[in-house]
Amino acid sequence: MAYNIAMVCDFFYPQLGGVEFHIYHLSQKLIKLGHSVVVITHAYGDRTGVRYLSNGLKVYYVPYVVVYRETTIPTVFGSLPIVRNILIREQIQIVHSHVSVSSLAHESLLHGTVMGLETVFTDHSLYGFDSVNSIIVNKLLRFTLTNVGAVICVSNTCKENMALRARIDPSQISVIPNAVVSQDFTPLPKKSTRVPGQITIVVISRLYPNKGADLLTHLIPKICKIQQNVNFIVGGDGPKFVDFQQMIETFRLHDRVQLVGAVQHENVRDVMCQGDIYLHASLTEAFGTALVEASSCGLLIVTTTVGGIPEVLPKHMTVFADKTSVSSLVDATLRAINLLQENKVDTSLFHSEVASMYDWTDVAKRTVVVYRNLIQQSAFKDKSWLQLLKNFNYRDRPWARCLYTLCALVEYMFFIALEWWYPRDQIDLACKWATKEH
Amino acid sequence: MNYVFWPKHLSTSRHGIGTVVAIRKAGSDWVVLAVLEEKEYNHVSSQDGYVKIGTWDPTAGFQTALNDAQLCFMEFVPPKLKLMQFYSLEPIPLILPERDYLMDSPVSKQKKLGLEQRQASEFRLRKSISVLNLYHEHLLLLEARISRSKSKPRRTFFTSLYQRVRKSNLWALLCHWAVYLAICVHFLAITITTLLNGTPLNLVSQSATAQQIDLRCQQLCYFPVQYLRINEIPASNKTHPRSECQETQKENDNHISPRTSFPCENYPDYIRFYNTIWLIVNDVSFGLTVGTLLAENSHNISEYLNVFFTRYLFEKVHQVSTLLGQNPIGIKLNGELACFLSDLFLWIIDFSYSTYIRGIISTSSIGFFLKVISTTSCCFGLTFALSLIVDLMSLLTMHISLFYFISAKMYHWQLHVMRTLLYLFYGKKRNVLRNRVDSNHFELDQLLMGTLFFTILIFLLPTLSLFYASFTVFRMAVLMPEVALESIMALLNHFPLFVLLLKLKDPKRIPGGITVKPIKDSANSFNLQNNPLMFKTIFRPYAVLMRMMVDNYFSLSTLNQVLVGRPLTIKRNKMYKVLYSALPKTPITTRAVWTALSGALG
Amino acid sequence: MKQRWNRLLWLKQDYPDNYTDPDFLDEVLELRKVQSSPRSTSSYCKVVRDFLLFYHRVMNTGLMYVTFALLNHYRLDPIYFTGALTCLAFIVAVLFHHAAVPVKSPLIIIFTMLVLSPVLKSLSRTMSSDSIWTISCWLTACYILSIFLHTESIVSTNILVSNVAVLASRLQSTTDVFCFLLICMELNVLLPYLEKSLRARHFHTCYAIAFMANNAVVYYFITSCRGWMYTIIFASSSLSFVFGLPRYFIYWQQNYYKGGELLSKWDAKTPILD
Repeated sequence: MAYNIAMVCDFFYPQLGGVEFHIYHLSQKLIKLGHSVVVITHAYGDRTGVRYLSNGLKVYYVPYVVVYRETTIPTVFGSLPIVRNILIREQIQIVHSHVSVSSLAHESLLHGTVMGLETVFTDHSLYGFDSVNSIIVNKLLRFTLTNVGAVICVSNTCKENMALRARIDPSQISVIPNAVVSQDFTPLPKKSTRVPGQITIVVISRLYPNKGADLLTHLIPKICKIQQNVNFIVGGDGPKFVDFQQMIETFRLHDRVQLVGAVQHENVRDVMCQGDIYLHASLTEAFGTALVEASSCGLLIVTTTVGGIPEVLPKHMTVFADKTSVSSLVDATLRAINLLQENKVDTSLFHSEVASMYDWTDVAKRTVVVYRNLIQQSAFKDKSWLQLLKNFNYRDRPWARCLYTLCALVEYMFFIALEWWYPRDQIDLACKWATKEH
Repeated sequence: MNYVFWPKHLSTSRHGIGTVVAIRKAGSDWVVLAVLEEKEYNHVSSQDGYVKIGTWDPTAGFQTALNDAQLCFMEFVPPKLKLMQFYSLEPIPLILPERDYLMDSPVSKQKKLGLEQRQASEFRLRKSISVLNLYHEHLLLLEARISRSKSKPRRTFFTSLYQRVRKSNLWALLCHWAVYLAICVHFLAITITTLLNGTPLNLVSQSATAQQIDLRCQQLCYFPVQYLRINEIPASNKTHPRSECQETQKENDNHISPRTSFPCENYPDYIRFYNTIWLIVNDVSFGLTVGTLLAENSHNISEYLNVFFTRYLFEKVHQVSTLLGQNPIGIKLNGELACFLSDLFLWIIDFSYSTYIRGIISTSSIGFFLKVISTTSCCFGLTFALSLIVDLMSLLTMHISLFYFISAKMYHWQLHVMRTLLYLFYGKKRNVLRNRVDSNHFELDQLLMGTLFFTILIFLLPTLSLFYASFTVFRMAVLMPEVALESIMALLNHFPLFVLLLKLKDPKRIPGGITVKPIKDSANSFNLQNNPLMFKTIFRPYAVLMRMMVDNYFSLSTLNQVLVGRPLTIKRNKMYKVLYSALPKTPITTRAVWTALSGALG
Repeated sequence: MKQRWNRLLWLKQDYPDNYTDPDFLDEVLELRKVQSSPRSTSSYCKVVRDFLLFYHRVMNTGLMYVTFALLNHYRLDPIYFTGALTCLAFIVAVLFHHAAVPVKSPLIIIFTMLVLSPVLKSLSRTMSSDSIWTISCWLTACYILSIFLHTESIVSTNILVSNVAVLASRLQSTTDVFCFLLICMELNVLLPYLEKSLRARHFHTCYAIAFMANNAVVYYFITSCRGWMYTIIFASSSLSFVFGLPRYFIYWQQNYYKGGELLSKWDAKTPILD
């Protein structure tokens, strides 16, 4: 049974990042499985309108005001006319939103609910409860996830986090991890070109404080002092780039540490393959796709144990640092170097192991299972507007309840007005791209 | 699909059936030359390329004799070569192609892209148009072949006189002397230009008079080359390489000079040359008018100017400076600093006033200057007078410019120091060697000192800002008249007068492309028409100049500049270079001109 | 029998994706309980102590106004006063650090202040006295706020120096200005540092003496300037702040505070740079 799915997120091509690749690869595999997928995102520069990516993946670039780091301005109902039009035109059955900070995603969930479609939400990060940012995002999430059909999280820690943040039943949350395209991350055939005895440690991350850049600037000189045959390759850019340059100059590590700068996605594999160990010093992480990519390239992983990282790879592929402190990471790195020098670990098998563990087709199939359950159960759910309003009413504290119900009411009224003003039968239905039968 | 180009007058002229004769050059379509009688056609051999393509009947129209069934007719009016009319696919270039970069707009870049594509695909059309342009020449040749027996055309009296004079010795002597004079003038002009443009002083960007002199010298340098080119003297080839071939004129006995190539490149030069000459003449005549006006009313003007300048150059500025030193409008300025600054500026005003301004703006010296200006404008033209006025004005307002630069510098320093101190407070320091901002650990005493300085600077900021703001206003007030006068000079120097008049009188001489329109009630006939240049294209350098001036003086970037403290200046080099687009970048050397001229003579 | 559910993503397990382990469920329920129920809070004494420290800092700031009044109204000769205070500070610093105190830094600071005192004096001369008192009030409030938010940051020192600059124009001579600036620096930068080290080394009696002296000076000053009425009002409000407000704080912590160790599991961890 082929479904018509709409993926909604503020972040998509031409911006390149973890979320964007997730949506793209998932959509491609869903298309291969025979479903029809459409992506809705906001316009990037002068890239507006409808574009097609490979295999007929149709992308709607909706012109919208962008406020901060490619997020659109959050008006609750502003996107209803255009999103309704797209959903009707493409005969969408399932609205699948991604990322908690994307306002377009939240709004589309609401619009999908109002129009009687199934809604799925995927979250990709962890959020605390203390900072102002987190509190706002959590409140928003609680509003939009009141009537959501299913939630997908990328790790079990993420699932816990989601259950607490949004107060939804854990059985509604499915855990479907990310994956990597293993063919893009193959190790070098033979490591003969490298100097024997020399160990290279690769770090590729955005150099922000919450990605552990401070830890790195302190631990790299320490390791270089202790071990003489260790080199570093640091890729990535960010506000802390200058600190790395200063570290190299202060400790005179010009021939031991190489700052590559921002690495394009297609060059990540080449940079990674130059190394033996991948160092990941992040302070918060929901899944850690970079770890899987590095493992697939045949590197031994040294990482902190924050968030969902312990769930991602088996123990023989990683060396964990139990605390997010410099000494703990130095210790872990030295252990890893030791393991490699004494040949206690064989990294040439990593690629095939990772290829069997993580695959986008598997992710797509599991997602389809979620969709199927949703559609099958929709017959038994009461989806009248009264029930939906009641759901809003049962949430949270008095003030929040009033606000939620009010928003929902306005949304319904707006929807009714649009149904009268732009009737459904006047909207042309789009032709679907013909898929090859497998 | 083959095209046949059909001259309009043939449809109406003949009676009776005639043979249609057409020619076809390599790669072009058929161009119909004439409708001939049978016997006339038999005189013509098909070796010359004249082919019968069909018959013409006033009633039945054209019957083709070609194998092609698909024929398209393009009707056109043949251009009169002697009047310099012609068709062209691209607009006639009014600026030198090598100077197109000055226009610097995205449109020109797009045009270049399209150009290469079109040149490839419309090759046939281009060839056809070249044949079209030489229609009358071909017709004359055809008629010559047919009517060899006919008598030669009569020579008029003046033509014969003209021919005799040209062959005489006196004429040769005059030509030689003219050449020598031209060379001397050229050499002088080139020396002056090099002097004026030579760095480091670079007078051209400092003074408007120097720029005007430089412009005239460059125009004088270019005249000989232009003249040679428009009279199509082959020696001019070496002075400027060109792509099309140029055949020398063949003087036939009956003065038919069949040109088999098309001299279209000379026409823009013709237009430019006569435009320049006309503008210079205009300039001088305006100058005469204004000069005599000035000379007649010099007494009144000098008195008025005396009062005006004394009031605005001295008294008002003096007042404002004193006012700023005494807490104007109740704004709480720092007493010491305000006093110091206002004293400084008052001193500068008094000094400059007593040294030279008073001398210059006294009635007698103003009268003297007016006399000089009126003489210059009578002799050399209004533009020189205006440039002298501009230079005089900048000299007179030098003290205001000085205030402005001083206060801008101080303001900029203050902002710079405050920004560095803010870096200090965030634990950062600017690394000049690597041009980046590093983190640095600062000692307590450094931090405390930074705090003290920062507090002092914050409190002193309003005072300095107020002085800076008022002097910026003064500076803008001084710049505006100068810019206005320089715009008038730009108009006088570079106005495309000739082209405008041509557009009114004979638009066929300034083609901007061709238009092809289908004729009503006819399946395969089209009308080929000339599309004269649009006003927009004619005035393009001005549009660019206007945009540059707005960018320089009235845009957001100017505001930014003012807020940060970078000084405003007239960028004469950048702005008015746009109008030099009709002159070559480097003037042609005297040696080359000498070779060309002597080649032309001998 | 089915294998136990593992909390791993790379293992292909026989359970559906939305399977919730009973343990997982318990954990979540417990966490949610923790989230919604009243929590254990800090002890009353600890809160009172923190409030007391804050109150002490505010008193410290008040000393600045004492000095100002002494110099302005009572026309005290500043040189002896400043000299004595500086020597005392120096001796104490030497005693406490047991090491050679760097001479360079204080000397540079003192000389800079000496040079810049006339400039500071003239900065706000054109303002009227009323606006100066108002600005000084607001600056003090900002200063206290900045102390509360980030202790010992450069912003608070900046505000302090601005405050001094604003008040300096009401003083008589530049010597007065220099002395005032020096005293304020000592009182507001050195004294808190000294008191913190006293507390760290558990010299509680010394600290208590300093605290008492501070309070005595301020209250005496208020009494002699304004009368007993003001002293009583001020004292009672201070007492209610130090002893009454902690109760409300504890109440808030119990019922409204959403942080705590259990829930901060999902915040980004702080890096330990050792």
